[in-house]
Amino acid sequence: MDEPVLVNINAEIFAGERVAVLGVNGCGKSTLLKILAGLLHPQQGEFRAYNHPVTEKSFADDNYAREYHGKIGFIFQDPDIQLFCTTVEEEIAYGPLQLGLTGEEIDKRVDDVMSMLGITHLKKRTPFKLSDGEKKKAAIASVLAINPEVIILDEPTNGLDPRTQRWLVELLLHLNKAGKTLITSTHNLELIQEISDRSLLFNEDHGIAADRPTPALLEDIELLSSVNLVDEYYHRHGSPEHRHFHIHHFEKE
Amino acid sequence: MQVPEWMLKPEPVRKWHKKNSGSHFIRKTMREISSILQNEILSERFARQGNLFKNLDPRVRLLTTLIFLVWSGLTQSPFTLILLVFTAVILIKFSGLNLKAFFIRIWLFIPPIVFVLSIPAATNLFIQGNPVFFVYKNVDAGFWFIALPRNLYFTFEGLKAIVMVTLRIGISLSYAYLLIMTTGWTHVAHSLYVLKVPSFIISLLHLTYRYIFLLSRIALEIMESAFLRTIGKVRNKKKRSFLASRISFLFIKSSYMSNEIYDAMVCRGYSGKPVTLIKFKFSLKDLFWLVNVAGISVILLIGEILF
Repeated sequence: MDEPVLVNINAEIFAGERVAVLGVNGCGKSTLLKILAGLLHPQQGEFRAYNHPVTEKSFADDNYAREYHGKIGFIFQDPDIQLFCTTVEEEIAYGPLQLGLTGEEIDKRVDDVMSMLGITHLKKRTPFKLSDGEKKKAAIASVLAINPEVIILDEPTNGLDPRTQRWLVELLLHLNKAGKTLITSTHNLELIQEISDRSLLFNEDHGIAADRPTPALLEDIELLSSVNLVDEYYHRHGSPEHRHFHIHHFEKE
Repeated sequence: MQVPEWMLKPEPVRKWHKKNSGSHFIRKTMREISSILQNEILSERFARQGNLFKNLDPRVRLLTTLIFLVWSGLTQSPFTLILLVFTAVILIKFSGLNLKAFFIRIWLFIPPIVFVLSIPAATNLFIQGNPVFFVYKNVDAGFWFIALPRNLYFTFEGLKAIVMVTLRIGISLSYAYLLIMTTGWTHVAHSLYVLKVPSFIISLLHLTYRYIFLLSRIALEIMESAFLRTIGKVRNKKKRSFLASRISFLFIKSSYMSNEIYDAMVCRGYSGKPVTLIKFKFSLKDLFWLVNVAGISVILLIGEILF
């Protein structure tokens, strides 16, 4: 490799947090997420999760791999990639089957997740033939069925219509309330104010330019524009509650 | 939205009592796919560096490759073939390519397999000629309805034929390797067009090339996604069925995508004619090179007549 994909990354993420990973295309967001998911391993430095270093070697132990993948769910940007079974039902059951759940438990999980996401009518459908929004829901369901503690989402709203985007925001807030840690990579500034409390901002040199509470980060227009995430048209109106990219805030109960 | 009860609690740790899988097949497959992708990036990188063969006009490179391939196909002399092997090795060495990688990828793989598979053809069963050594002599070897000759031996002509087939295959692969490792795909395609290869064949090659990388990227990502949801030892039967289902999925997806890829190419003005930013320039060194190739051909021809 000639050029490093990530440089000097130092960050800690705690249980129950809602963290956004922000940055322009190609800054290394997806690579960081893949490291967190145990798909890639850093060539230098160390990545620790649950007090243990996560290395390629550690995944040779199946108990470890099983526990790790059970705890950390990854929702890919392109749902087509994630859906590889012949029906939506099988797709959702794939993870629980791997976890060694009983037939009854699996049936319950599949039904629960489908009704939670409102996709019960898709049960016997072929994932390949669904609409983009439905595919995304099926992909999310397939990860939620494992009941991971940490949910990693790579550009979750890409290709979704505004209504499905709203639905996703609501779902993420429910999941966080249920105790899930959310790590979302995005360059959608509208989205992050709702789904994150803290943001890691990448610069174009593949390093972290800022690690701050999301509202404070969004205020710092100079910083956002220095990493080329926004241009001169990005601004806020009057009060901090009312931004130019206005969307309704989901009320946390 | 109703969050199910089980989702509110952390997942209990379920211990896995089975033996470790040792080698994780999904991980291995992922590594293989990414190494194919890396090789491609590597070859495009090689192609950008300037060095002997790479400094020539792509059309001249293609023509040189074709001339040597035709030579290896037409010649009846093993000496000519050996000379062609040496020429390929020298060109690869002076083009800055890794000789070890070349030998491993080209000469240690397909030619030995071809040689082993064609050994029976070297016997007097298939090619008559002077005996070199006997498998058996004066034996009534026929059984059931198969009548074997009384003497079974390897003939000089047979051995020569299989050595030549092996060398020809090795030579073809060597020159193809040299061309591919030193010339970017668009240049090869454009050179084919200049050499009047029908455009539908070039289109087919274009789509194939685009497909290989697109599909291997998708295959890699599918593997990653499956890896995240696969835990524990996977039985061989499961591995086979997983791979079979992935292959069928990729097949369906590719047939769906083939139209889309083609449409996307057409939308941007693709008409079957390959285009490249770089203008080909036939320079003095290309002329010098072609004279050189002609010289080598004359030497080969003299060798052909003499031996």
